[in-house]
Amino acid sequence: MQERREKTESQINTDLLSAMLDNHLWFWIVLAGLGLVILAGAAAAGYMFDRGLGVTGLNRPVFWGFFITNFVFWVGISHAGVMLSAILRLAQAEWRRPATRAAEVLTIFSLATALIFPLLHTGRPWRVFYWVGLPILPYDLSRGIFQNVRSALLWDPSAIFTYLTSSTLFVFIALVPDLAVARDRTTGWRRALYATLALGFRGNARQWRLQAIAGILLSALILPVFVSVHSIVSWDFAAAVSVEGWHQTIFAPYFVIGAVHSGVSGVVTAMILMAWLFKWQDYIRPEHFDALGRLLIVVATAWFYFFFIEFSFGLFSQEPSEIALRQTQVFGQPWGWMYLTFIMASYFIPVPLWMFRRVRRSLVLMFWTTILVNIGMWLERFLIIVPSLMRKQGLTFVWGDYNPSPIEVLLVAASFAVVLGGVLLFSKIFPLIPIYDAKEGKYIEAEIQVGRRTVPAVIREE
Amino acid sequence: MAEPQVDVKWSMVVDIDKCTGCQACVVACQSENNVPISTQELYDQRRQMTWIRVERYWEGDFPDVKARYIPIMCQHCDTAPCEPVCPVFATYHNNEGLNVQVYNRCVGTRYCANNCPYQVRFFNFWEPVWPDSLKNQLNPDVTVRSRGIMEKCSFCVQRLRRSERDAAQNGDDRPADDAFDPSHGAFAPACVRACPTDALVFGDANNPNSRVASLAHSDRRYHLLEHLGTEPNVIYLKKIDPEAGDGNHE
Amino acid sequence: METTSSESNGHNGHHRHMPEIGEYTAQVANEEIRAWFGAPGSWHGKALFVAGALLVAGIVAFVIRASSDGFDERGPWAYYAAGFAFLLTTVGSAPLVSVALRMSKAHWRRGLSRLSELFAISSIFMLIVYIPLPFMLPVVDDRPSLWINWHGHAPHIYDSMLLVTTVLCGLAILLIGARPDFAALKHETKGIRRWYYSIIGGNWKGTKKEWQRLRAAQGVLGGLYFMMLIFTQLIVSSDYALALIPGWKDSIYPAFYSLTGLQGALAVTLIAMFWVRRTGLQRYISLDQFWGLAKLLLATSLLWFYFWWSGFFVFWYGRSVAEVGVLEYMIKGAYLAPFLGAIAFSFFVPCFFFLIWNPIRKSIRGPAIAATIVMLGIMFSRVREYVAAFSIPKGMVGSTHIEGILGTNTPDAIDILLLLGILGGSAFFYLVALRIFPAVNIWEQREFTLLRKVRPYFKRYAVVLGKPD
Repeated sequence: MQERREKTESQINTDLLSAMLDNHLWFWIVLAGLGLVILAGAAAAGYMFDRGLGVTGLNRPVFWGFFITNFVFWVGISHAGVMLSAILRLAQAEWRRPATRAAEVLTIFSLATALIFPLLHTGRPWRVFYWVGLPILPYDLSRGIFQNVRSALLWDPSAIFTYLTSSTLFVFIALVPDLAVARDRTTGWRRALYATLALGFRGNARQWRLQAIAGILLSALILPVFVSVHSIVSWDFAAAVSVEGWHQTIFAPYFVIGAVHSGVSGVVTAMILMAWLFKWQDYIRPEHFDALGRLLIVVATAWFYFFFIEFSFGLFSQEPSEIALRQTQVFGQPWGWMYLTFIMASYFIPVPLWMFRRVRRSLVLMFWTTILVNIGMWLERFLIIVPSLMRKQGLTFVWGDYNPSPIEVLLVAASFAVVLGGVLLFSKIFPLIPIYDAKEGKYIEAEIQVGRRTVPAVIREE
Repeated sequence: MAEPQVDVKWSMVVDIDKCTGCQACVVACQSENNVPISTQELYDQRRQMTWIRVERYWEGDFPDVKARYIPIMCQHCDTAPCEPVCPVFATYHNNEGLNVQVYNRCVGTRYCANNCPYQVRFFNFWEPVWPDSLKNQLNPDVTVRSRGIMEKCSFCVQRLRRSERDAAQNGDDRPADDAFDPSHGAFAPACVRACPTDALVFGDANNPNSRVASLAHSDRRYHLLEHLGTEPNVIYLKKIDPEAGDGNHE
Repeated sequence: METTSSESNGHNGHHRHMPEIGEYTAQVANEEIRAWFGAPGSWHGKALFVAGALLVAGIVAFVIRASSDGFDERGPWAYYAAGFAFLLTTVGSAPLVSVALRMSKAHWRRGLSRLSELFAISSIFMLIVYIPLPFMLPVVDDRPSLWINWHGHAPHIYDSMLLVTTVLCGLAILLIGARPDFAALKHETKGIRRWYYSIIGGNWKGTKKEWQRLRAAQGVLGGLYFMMLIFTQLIVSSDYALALIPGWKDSIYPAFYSLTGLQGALAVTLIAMFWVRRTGLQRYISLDQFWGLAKLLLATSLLWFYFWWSGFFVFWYGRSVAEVGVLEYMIKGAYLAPFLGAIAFSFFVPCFFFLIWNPIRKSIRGPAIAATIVMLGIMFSRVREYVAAFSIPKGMVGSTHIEGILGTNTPDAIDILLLLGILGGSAFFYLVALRIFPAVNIWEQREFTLLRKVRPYFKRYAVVLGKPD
């Protein structure tokens, strides 16, 4: 922890508001590039709505493909927000501080992006209101029939909308003190915006107490939602008795821990980008990546344990169709190559590297290893969804295959652009590192003398 | 939904021993139910639609190869895996034992198709088109489906409804079993009517005098993928070939 | 509330609130822990007598069962197997608490690490209990299995090897961590104690290199123990429970079993802490330790429901013939009573009556009572799973689903005595271990006095904790 550099509070304000208030050329160029990709995606979606789902590579029996894979992937990424903010806040982990806001914002944008995909993938998206209309708009009861509450596809939007609402609230509550700082330092439309959103926050004792209580309460209340979201996503698959590779009891915790794995990796990638782009190396320090790296080793290994059980118990009862599925996954091409890539990328390359302190403290290496994890985790979802559908039950006559079409690839690419562009735009309007949190951290830092050595310490009230 | 309870349970028996794999049922079904034409292009895309299909399996090694046929259509399961998963109730079980697809409700999540172990649910990936010469061939009793929705075998529900009207006119409370016997009546599903070897038998399983009810107690009976516990209303009868397998490809 | 014996006097002259436990010196820690170790009190002898009596009763019951039923049938040994599985998920997993807290660098682990590691001695008793079980396991040809067939005996050999390795690994952690203490103690003792203190403490001098090696060994052995234990639990649960019940293809079960292992490890450690604390050492086994473990116990108890529900839900929604059969047998039918006991005592009662309430969680007695209830819940779980598995008729093992309705294997007097003997035996081993090893790690406490300071902070006092790495 030798990297700590003393900063005054006004210096902290200036540093952390710079991304918002200073104009950078690269920002607009990147945003324009992402905008182009999003436009291309929108065009692809329009073409697909016009012509029908025939323009995808979906077929019988592979009725779900890239879209659902991408949906699961983004829901997975969204699990980083709560994992880092809520759990680490409750556990009083000091190193969470610069990471929380980025994680929460990533949660919001990836959840919103994830929500688009089930809608894109329906046959008649203009009728989707009858499926997910309820959470937003009053339901059309004139048809005399309600949605089917037995369907996992109804629990899905319910859980995701709940999660989206609560994490938006979570971000907002943590933003209030920072908005007050921004309000006092800006003019024009920004001042009007921040003044409205800051809700008259002046930093008196009562306001701080309310803000802290709200944060802790939301942290605790959001945890069950956090666990339920990916569990329910996993039950989209596990509830299907007919698909051997899906119908596994381990799926709920397996998906949740996998989501945390890919989510925390996503946050690390985002934090490194922030440190590079906004020059925040004084706030996002190697010690944070050291701690995140150690957390990632634990999460990745827990995930691998669940993966191992999932795979081996597929073979446990030695049913022919289950064995056929595993053969396709591991030895059939091109699935076998993907499988190898997935295992190596999400576990066997990054985790041994993270064992070294020097790797954990290197921004470049952490950047590439966490990207690797997410490539692997995307493939994981793909390899769960598609080969299982290809080898459904024992009716070998109708076993199938799947090749994604350019339209699907384009839409997946556009989803990455949406999330990146969203976070970038957010950074232009709101501070991406919690200013008050950075200051609060300074007050509980201390040092003690042990013999001749000075040891960093934390202060704990009792 | 308070539908009146009726004492009818539609059921079909498929005698594998009699099936020659001639595909007459497939063609009959196609024209009766306005199923889009399965062109070579659609086959290449794996998006062909055949509400009933004849699966062909090879048994044995060359030169002692035998072809085995098994017609598979919607099994109208009593505990159908496809039903609970539909978020908009587009598919549900009606009080006559039929697994019903309501086209207007369907939004096309395709979850039902994933959860059907028999792969007898079909999705309209494209808007269906017919050549001009076939426009007048479409059956006026059956909806022409649009793209983006699921469809599947309905046990020719339009024929069942006609048989019920016929019975009501005659003052009976349930259609006579004869009405579903291809040699007597006109109301059997198209595939049953078309089957030249009488391999398909259709009727009311709750009527103890029906052919279906008596065949259903055969000691050759089995259900497809029985271990899934879906309780299908389609009953298969094993082949009587002493050298053959049981025709149950699990 | 019990008061803590220390020089902290609540309030001092400046009206600043002092932490409950003030600063203390390494010397104080050294003397207090040694004093308790030298003379723990008369309760120890009494407890040893009760545990010994139970153990003897259990041995008698074992002999009766063996002579009347032999080892050919699994049914009569069902409760014995449940007892073994109970041990594996409680005392057999207990060193995990120390290992996991050391890995996560929780500063409050120091008060309880020895108490948790001491269960490695009880694990020796678990190994003894295990001896007859492999002989009752069917060969893999006749049943589902994770193993590639190796003369049909792969699980028998590998299960046993893994179990022995895990127990040895736990013992190694205990002995390596005890070396500095033994080296310090050996000069003050005579006779047999001096002899084995010298062997284990050896030529420990306390050089920098020795400390580095000690920490490295603790890290490596901890990681190894973690993996070995999880893997042992995985295959013991799959070979001795899952594989025997037709149609129970439940991939979450090994993970669920390991989770209850963690839950049980926390619970036995809490119980040991509670009883030791009643007779002294309150400064080291303090509220911090109880509070910390109570939070983890709450988390594992909530996860208990999540894991159970994940497994149940998929079976219930799937409704395949095999799944319905398992649910009918293990939840609705023959094992309804133990199932209700498990869900009540592993999840509902400890969570909602005890641990979610802040004042109860942050107390000494609350977590200890909750831990006792959790132990009961784990016993019910093991009875439900292992008795159900061992009671499946021989001919049915390996078929695809349960046929017909199976009855309940209710315990008779011998079964109860066997279970009591298993409990008593592990307690007996633990009580003996308390006389061999100091109940609190002396060197870890001495280290802690260097890193823990009490300092004024604005208007009050606060504890400052050094984090050297």
